[in-house]
Amino acid sequence: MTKRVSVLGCGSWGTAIVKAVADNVVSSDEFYSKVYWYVRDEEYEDRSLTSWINQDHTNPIYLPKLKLPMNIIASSEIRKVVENADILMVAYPPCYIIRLVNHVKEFIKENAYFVSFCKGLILCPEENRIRLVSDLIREQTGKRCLVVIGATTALEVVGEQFTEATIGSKSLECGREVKRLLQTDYMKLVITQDDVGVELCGSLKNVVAIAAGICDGLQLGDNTKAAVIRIGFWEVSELMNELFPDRGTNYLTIEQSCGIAELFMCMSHKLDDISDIGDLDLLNISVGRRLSNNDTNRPSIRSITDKIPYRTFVDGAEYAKQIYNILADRRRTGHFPLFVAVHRICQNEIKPQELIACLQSHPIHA
Amino acid sequence: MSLRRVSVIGSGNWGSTIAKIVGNNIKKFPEYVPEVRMWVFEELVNGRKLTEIINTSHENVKYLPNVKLPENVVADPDVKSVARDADVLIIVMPHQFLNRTLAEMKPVVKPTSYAISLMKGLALSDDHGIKLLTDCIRDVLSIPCAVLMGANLATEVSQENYCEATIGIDNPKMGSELKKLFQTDYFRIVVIKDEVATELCGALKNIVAVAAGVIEGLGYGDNTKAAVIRLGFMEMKSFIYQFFADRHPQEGTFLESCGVADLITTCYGGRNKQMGIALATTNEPLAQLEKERLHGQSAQGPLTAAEVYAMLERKGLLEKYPIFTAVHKLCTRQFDPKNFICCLANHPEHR
Repeated sequence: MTKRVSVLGCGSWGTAIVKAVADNVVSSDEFYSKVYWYVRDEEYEDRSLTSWINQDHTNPIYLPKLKLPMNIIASSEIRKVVENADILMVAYPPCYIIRLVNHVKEFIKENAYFVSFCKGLILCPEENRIRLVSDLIREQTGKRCLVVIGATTALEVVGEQFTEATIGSKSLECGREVKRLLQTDYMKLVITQDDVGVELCGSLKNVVAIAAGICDGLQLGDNTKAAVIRIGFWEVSELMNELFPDRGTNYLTIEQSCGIAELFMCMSHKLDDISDIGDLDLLNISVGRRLSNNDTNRPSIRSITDKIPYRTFVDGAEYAKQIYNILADRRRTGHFPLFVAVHRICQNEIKPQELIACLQSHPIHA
Repeated sequence: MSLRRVSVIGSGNWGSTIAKIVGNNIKKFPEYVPEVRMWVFEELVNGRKLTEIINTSHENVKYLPNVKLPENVVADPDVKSVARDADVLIIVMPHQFLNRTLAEMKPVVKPTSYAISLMKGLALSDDHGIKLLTDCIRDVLSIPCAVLMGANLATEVSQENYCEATIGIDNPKMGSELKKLFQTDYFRIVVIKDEVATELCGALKNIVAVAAGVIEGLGYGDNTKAAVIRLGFMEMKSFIYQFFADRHPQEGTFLESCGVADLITTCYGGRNKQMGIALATTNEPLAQLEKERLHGQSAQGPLTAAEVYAMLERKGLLEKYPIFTAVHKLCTRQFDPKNFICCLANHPEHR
């Protein structure tokens, strides 16, 4: 019995994923040779996007220039894409997940499972909590959900540049299956059972990225920046346990591509020309830079983030705010000075120059 | 109870920087002799003895100009005089002079004292392989030896720029003493028990930095570079567990400043990375590149890669360390740099 794979999401990341899967299943004994792809009902030059994909094998809106394999079948009818799938791969920004899941949950096969590629969390300010995208999918559908996150972008996968990602899966069997679907010569995957840690690393790094950008804006040296990044790392690993105790989180997950390799990106000095299809996560570094390189007229966080043209930008400042509120509620802010400092700098409560002073009595050095 | 004495063996920019920190810290603790002796290899600067300059103007004008040393730091050209009566020996000197200096000190070193090494790098062992510099100290002086390693540079620490270091010492009393002596508002210390991995990270990271430079020189993007650095990091861990398992390396060590933080600063700046870029963008032999770009000095990465390669080859383990192996082979011009990334196609991390 060959298994069927469907991909939901036609942005650049979804396009890169469907290409990798299609290349892998085309001659597979294990998987059905066609991949179904849910594509929004959208038009480009008076033709529907599905028509472009199915006839010309190209996605001109979200990843032009890429030639797509011919075994991809695009459809804007979500039921048709979902109802026969054994593995459902979801590549949407977190803010769209609730609606998507509500829409599809009645069509899903008994033993199907999800794979989430969503880099981000669901913030619930009213309840003062954070939810994982994968938890939302599990709770709404009753199905298993794996996560795939790492230091890679659509552009690199499509350009066949060597990169890595991490599969977080409580089930090793499902993890290995997804690895066979996705791994190529140029996109390499490592499986860990700490799925919560994988998802949190991929999200909380956005706060550390702002701190790294502040270091750049203040023109601090590389060793100071490395200390800030490492301390940020440490706080991420502590937050994994603080926010999701008893979920089997492991601090060593930080050593996977979803962890340190993503944070290595913060150390790069080539961030001023961020590609429009590139890694939106790096925009948080730019946010940090812009917060701190203007001494006299400090911009508000809103004026910076509102100028970012991408609707799906993962806003590290919002994450910092939500985490701060959770920690304040628990009287645990003293354990996380960097996250607290980033929040307060973003809210103009303290100056960026005070970031380092906030770290001078960090619990990691106690 | 006699007062404890701390001495600094070495007075380059790092030695002088540390002497400044220790000199300032030690004044706060009445259990120490306030004087910190610093061994200075005597030389003439503008016709005057360097030790005399340091002791009168409290500045190491040659190796750390424009930084005031506290007045309780006393420069002394006689290494025996500096080492005598010391309870803590801070050893921070070019490692090519280490064994000779240790032999000279040995007769006067107190048997109850201990050392701490701030030297980044490795020694060559007699049976061809690497040897820890702290092991040289332990072997010659027969005293315990801690190590301090991390993402820090003398020039930045001397300017009081915020950064961190890791101290590896498997003795809690020594660890807490060293933290008192070294930590300031701007130089933050974490003490861990793992002496061996703390020190080895400082050496192995240079191999990974060469690889990072190669990737940059070949024009790959940031995520490819991040993947290569991470895989190099995993090879560092694997190597330490493979060859030093009997000395109990700890998982958490690699996430300390001596591990991941030092790795990223080295991979994004510094001469090893520069050498990697040069290897990728030219066809010149390594020795020529070092002569042209490092003024004849050697980058540590290629030297370490050669020794590590020999150790791995002897054990039949080369295929488990694709990055370490590829760096050595590229440094010795055994393949075209364009093929570097192909060496990672079957990395054990991805099997």
